[in-house]
Amino acid sequence: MFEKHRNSKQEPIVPQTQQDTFVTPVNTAAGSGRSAIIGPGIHINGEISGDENLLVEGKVDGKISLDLHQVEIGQTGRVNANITAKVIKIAGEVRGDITGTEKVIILRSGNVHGNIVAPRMTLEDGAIFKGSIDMDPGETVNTKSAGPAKKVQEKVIEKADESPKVVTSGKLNDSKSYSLNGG
Amino acid sequence: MSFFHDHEARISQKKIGELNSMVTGTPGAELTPGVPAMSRTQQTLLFPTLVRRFKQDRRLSVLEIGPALPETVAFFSQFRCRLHFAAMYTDPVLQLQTGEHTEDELAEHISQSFGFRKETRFDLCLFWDFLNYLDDKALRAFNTALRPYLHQSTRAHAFTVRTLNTRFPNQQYGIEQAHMFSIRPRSGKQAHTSPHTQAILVNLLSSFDIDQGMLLPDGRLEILMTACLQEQAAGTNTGPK
Repeated sequence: MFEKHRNSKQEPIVPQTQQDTFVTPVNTAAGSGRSAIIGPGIHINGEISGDENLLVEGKVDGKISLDLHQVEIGQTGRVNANITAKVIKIAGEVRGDITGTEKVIILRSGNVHGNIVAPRMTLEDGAIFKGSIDMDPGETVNTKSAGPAKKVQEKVIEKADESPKVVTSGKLNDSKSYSLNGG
Repeated sequence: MSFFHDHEARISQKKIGELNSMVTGTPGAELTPGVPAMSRTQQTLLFPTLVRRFKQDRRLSVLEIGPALPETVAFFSQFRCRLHFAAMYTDPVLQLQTGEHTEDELAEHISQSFGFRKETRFDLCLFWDFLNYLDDKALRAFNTALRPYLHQSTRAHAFTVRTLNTRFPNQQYGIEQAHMFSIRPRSGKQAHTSPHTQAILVNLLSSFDIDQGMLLPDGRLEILMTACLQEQAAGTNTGPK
């Protein structure tokens, strides 16, 4: 599924186990310093939770819960899911309810259809939004989660040009285990 | 009789003069292709009276019938509020109204397009000039669809016309400040307009009464309305389905 990554000479040196997964952790200046990427050719159907930032450039159907971290939906990202995170930045398309415990930002290329709850909200010029925004400048949003979730679960993982394929397991790095359940 | 006409004319001219001095930017700039989106602002004397009624101790529920604009979001971010953007200018109802659809079918379509929660009750509705894009049948349907989400104190802001030959430029509105709206050209082809005078409007949009009106330089009327829900209070309308 990811043979082309193995064959690329310019590929950064990462643990072998990481190359077997659909997400690639990278260092970023923002947030906690680590970020996982769902590439543009990836389609995830299920629930995503975890303990690092996430950049979505592919498709996600289901639910994204990263209560203490940042979720960014890139320009090629297509998300049909409810999203909960500390900071949520959207440059792609989102259909679903969004809860940002700190802030939600819809960038100019963003297209959002759903309800947003956030103490602070920024909408850039050119962004498309239909739905409601719950704003309260005096308080932060409480979520049900009491602490960071440790697990990432996905049911169906597929490349856009391939038939659905189930990945049974894989490790992202030494400290985090990603359990991928077939569905 | 002529005294009243002259007096009325003098007042209208005075108001027009005052408001002419308040509109900034180049008149008609929004009609020129390629003009930057943020081209004009327009002062409003009526909207601040609504803002002064906002209460800090309760969450405000606002319906913006148009698209979400950054300045509107920024303006309401200073309040505890739930801001609903219905984006109705791009809704298919503007095309459906010219077809064979019945008033009930249009009302059902609008209600589904709204997608509001059952318990939603708006304190403030921002119609801008949207009501003038609906023909009589569609406006009655809009009234039917919106009515369940109003309460006795719901207020509304809109633009209507004094005479039916008044033109509505293809533009969209935002709120820069309580006393100042932003006016931007709307992209895409303008939908067919069906302007309504005050008298017609209150008949078709029966959920509201007009409280105040202000004549604008281009012939539009800026109006404030309050919900008028006697029938609902009598039990003929029990809320959203």
